[in-house]
Amino acid sequence: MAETVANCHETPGEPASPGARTVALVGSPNSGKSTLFNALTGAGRAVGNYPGTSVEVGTGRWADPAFGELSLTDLPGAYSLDPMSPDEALTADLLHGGGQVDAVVVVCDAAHLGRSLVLATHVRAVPVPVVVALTMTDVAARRGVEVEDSVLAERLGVDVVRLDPRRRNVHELARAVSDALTQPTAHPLVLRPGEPDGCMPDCPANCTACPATELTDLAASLAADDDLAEAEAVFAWVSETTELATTRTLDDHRTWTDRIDRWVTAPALGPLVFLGVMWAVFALTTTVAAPLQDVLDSFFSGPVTTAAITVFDAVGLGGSLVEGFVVNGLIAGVGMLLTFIPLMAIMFVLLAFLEDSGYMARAAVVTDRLMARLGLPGRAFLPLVVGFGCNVPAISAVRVLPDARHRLLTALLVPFTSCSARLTVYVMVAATFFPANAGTVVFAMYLTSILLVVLGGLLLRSTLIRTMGNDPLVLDLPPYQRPSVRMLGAATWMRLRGFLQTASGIIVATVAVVWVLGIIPAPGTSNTVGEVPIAESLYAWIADQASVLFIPTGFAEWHAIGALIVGFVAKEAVISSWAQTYPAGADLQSSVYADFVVSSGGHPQAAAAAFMVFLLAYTPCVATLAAQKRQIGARWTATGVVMQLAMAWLLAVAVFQIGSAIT
Amino acid sequence: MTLDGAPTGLPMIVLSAHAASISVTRRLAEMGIRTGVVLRILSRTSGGGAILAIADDRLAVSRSILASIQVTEEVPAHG
Repeated sequence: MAETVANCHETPGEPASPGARTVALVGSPNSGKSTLFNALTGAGRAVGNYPGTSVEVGTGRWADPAFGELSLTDLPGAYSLDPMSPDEALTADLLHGGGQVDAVVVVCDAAHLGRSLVLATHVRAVPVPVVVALTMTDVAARRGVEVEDSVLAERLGVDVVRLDPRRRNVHELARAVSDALTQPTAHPLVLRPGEPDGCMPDCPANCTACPATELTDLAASLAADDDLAEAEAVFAWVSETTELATTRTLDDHRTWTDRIDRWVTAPALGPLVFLGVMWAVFALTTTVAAPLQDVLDSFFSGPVTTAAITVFDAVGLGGSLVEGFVVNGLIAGVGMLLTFIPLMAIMFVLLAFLEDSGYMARAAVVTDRLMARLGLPGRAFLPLVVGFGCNVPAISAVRVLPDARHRLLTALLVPFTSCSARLTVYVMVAATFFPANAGTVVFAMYLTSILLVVLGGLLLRSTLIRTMGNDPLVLDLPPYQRPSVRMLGAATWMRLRGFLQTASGIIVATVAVVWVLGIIPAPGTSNTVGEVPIAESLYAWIADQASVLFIPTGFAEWHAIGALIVGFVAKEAVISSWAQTYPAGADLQSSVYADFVVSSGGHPQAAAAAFMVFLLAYTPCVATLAAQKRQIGARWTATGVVMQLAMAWLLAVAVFQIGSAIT
Repeated sequence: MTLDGAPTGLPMIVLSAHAASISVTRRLAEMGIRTGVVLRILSRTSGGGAILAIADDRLAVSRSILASIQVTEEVPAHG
């Protein structure tokens, strides 16, 4: 069964009514399919200018006067129906399954027509109404390539609708789909080899003229034998069709994309550019966001807290449990989360810029050699990059990899990529302990994250996953484009909203749990419920018991350990629960600093570095574990958790012991 | 010659493309690298790979892929 969209950042479209007809949206990777899906359904699927953005099935309601409403299914990008990866297999299975879809919209990229037509040809061999949506015609036109819709329509035997999904002129497509659904199929592709008279109702007995016959023969050749030589028939037909349907007014020439690529993927310069870009992202994020964070922090810990206390005093609830929950729990926790909105927004804007500009695909090229050292293909870099936003969709994204061992290894390495929720903690800790170099420290954490991916990969390859398939890099490079403000805004808002939706529920729940544990007295104390200093609560007692294990790390202190325990559930809740364990109005940074001075024996910076490394390396959240279990099974998921905890602890100990010795 | 030894910038005709596995060979064909196609190496990339131009398509491929593609230099038409 196909999986539907489920991750931190994407938002599904409104579901269609039960019984609504189903139309599948298929297309080669990076053909503009997800952009079109969003335009048709109003959903918020991830959109990026790099191959493999859609790795799961998305469904949404497509309403138009032409047909009322439809259920639109966005299938993962596929180059053909001869699958090389589970995602392509999913698309092929759904279309070959029979009766699962009422019609198919094939998204064909006019700028890469030949490539798109391979898939379109395969889909036309399936007995289902088909409409072709021709995208990227503006990109093709800029290259001096004009595509004749009528020639394509004649060759494929279906309606071809030229559209630009970014401008949302999609009503013509709706009319074509309506026609395909309501009218008898214009060229019924009854794929019965050797029966050319079956191709069209009124064809002569020995018809060889109509495209249906041609396709019938091609499909038959594919079905009869999966050999490459027979597939050549399809490729020859595609080449001929591309030749007939396109007019070239400019010679093949070196584009400005080529000129940029010459530098940004160059053997020596490419990796340096990659590091520079990543550093710029994190430095810019922390530098620009810091003053905004301070303003919001002052607002919540000052006027908001004071106002809440005043209100509770006025209604006679001053000092009550309710006031404690609201002031120490909700305002401290949720308020702390809200201070990170500028940070997350800037980060998401910059990542969306890199994705939509086309740079991310180049990053996969540059890191291919590094990936090869781990036995992974360059394409594995894409799920790992997704992990820097959120680990949950990254685990799903491993399905773009054809080899099962590559998927397993990548899924085990994704938790070492530092998700955006962890960024909130780095920023707070870095600003507290390394105020002069906070941006550089945060950048160093991301470099450490890459290092952990490498170390984890080498460790797994030398122990548990010794044999590894060979999947050399073959990656489509989209042209660079100037990201539109609308696209950046939509992508940023989609991710920010997803982050807040995920974080707010988790934070309110964990705030409640921490608050309840915080009002229950610890074993052996004489306090009564509700009148317990937080340091003598059950929460502090549990964290204190666990802190024994962390003595060699320098941060064996119950506030920090409690936050890490909460962080096992979700990193989004670390800061809020940490803030919750200090009195209302207390400055979190100065409180944490004072505690680390004590726990580290006078080496707070070393302890802070160890804390950040532990936070980076240990299990990201329970949602990631659920995604891993679905992808690689419970046994490997449990193996991964043990590996993460062991690496986190060992690295934290090493960082503190070395750091405290040299400072 | 194989493509990894071909000069950058010159149009080359693909004589054959046989990667280590049939599935990769098929994928190359789907991406446009098939017998008779004219392509150019646009630039070399880190790790020994290259960016190929096949008409308007741009493909990044690794060194092993380059070594699996037999090419010959395209002779410019005269007259």
